[in-house]
Amino acid sequence: MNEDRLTHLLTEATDLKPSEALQARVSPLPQSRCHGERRNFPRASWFALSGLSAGIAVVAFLAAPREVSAQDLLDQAGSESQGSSFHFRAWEFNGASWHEARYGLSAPGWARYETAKGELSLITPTGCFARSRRDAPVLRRPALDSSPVDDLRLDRHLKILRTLGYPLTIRRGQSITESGRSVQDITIECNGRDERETITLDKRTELPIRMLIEMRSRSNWVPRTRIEYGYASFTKEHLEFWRGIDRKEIVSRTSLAQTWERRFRTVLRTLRLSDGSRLQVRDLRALPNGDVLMVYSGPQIINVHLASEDGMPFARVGSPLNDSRRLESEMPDLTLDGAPLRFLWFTPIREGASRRTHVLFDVVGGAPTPFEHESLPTESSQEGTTPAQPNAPDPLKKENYQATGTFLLSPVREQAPLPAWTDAVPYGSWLIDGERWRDDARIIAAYDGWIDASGHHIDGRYRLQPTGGEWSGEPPRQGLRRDPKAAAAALRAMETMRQHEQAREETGNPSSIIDRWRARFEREMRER
Amino acid sequence: MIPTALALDADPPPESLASPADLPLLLDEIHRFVAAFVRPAADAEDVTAESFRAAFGKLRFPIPRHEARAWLLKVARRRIADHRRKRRHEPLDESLSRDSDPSLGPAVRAVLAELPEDQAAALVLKYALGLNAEETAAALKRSVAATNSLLQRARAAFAARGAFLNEGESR
Repeated sequence: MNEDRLTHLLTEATDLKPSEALQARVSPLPQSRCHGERRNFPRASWFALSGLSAGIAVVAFLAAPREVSAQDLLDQAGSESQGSSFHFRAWEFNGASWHEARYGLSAPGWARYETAKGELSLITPTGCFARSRRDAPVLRRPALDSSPVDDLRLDRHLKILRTLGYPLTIRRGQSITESGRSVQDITIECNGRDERETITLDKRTELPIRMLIEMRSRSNWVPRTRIEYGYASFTKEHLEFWRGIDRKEIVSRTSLAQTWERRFRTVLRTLRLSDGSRLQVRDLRALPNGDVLMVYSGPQIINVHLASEDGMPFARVGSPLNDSRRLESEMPDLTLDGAPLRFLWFTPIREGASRRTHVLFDVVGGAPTPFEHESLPTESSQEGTTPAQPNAPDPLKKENYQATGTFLLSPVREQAPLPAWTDAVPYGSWLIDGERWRDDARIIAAYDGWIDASGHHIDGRYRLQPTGGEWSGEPPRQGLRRDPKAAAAALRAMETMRQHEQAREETGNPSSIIDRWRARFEREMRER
Repeated sequence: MIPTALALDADPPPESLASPADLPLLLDEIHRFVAAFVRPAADAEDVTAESFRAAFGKLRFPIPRHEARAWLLKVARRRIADHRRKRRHEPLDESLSRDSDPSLGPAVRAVLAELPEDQAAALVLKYALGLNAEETAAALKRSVAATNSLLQRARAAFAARGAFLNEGESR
């Protein structure tokens, strides 16, 4: 076969012109982001959907919530899967009936979801920012090159959950034919947790058409959220809708957002990065689950080295120790003085990672700048000052170290002001009577061992309604302090830390993990 | 915001891509490459779109055109392999193609599917996309000599498996 014939045959076999739809799909968004450039992200809240779903893209549409029947749900099943964008409708079950959550549309690479109660989830090309049941923001998927549709694929979903360290039990149902397509139910349980997802997959496309999220309540599984997926080509109308969403300042409507803005206005530490730019750390903490969360203003793209006290990385499984992670960060809705606030959070790759975190930053191409954060600030003074106050304890001083402490609430969860006394507990979170969430109340506070001056644990209940929140309970009359158990736990942790340091000093033996990490880091610094 | 049709046949393509907005200049080549291995057409478009989406977050601009093409082809080849794995139990169903093809296209694609992936890729790049030896080598991340050797083997394999495609050809 001569080359001319070969050329003819292969040209004929590949003679397929890209359609206009494909041309639209491969065009970048406006002000496309290159490395180092600022992406013009649409304004969006970074609320979170409670549940273990990773990579779910749901979007808000501003419609008044209404009660829907089961038949409505069946009638509104997702359309045939195709294209790169998709839309969702979501409903929440309140124990008695399903109420429609706000549904909406997605833009390529972006999706938002808002429930009738104002809980939002944000998906970006760099990650799905969702909130766990314990209100700790978790970076679900920090991949850089995925599409929203890819996010929904079951294999990625499972990979993310496994990467986060969740032991999974997966059960596959029978394949059935529904509306002319072959579908199969996949139930995913994270062992030991009280949530499970049942995903109904279209077997041809391997994309989900439905997801049911259930929570366990006294050994019974209770439906919580149902999401229907539809896939349609992205249209001009979707763009117009999206622009409308961009202009709505959802977060700024809440007084609590203003409260958090006051806190974030405090600069805990300013880092001068190797390129001369500044990174202002406004909040840096370890979360109850061991995640690290940082709020800062500064470069959008930074390299981050992460290692916990024992040298284990916070990066995902497979990442070598001290591997530089280029993580994109953003807090699209919160700005201070015109500059966006950005946040980063990192998920440990194994349970039990220490909350003492060594975090290093550099800008792309620069040298790492160490910033070691030891823990959270101590309790505030009896007058209820917060670290924002001039006489507040410096959270970065070793004597203020606490191994345990109260941690960040996702501020946008709260749509109504908390009682004023809660400001007395910095970075606070409260539980109702020490219990976990209950179906009949929206708990936005987690109790962490605070007692009032009379020795009573803080007790109360916060209920979040679509129209606002209400608090009932006894606020402390006189100041706040930690209870003895929490204090003892903190002392134990501090002792462990001290022993680590002492062993290192006495033996000079680099065999400890910390020292191996430090030695490696110092070697890398010299080699740069 | 939705772009108008791209002008793909105007001036000679630039040697360098200045920004992500220039990436669609490679659409025709990448799509043709994907179309050699993925059908029906809707699936080929999906794979192509996925490859470009991956590029938007990864490539640094400005970038030489041949480097961008090589990168996109690398991603596309991976996506094609993923697509094939998912569909490995399904016959290549050309009847689903919206462009019902009375030509030898389906038969040629069937022969390509039987070849080792690197050989098939080399043939498509050289003979369907019309890349020269250096461009083909760059796209495959090989030396020119290695690429020529690969092409030699690929031509022989294609001729052996696709001998029936020569029938009726006037020499």
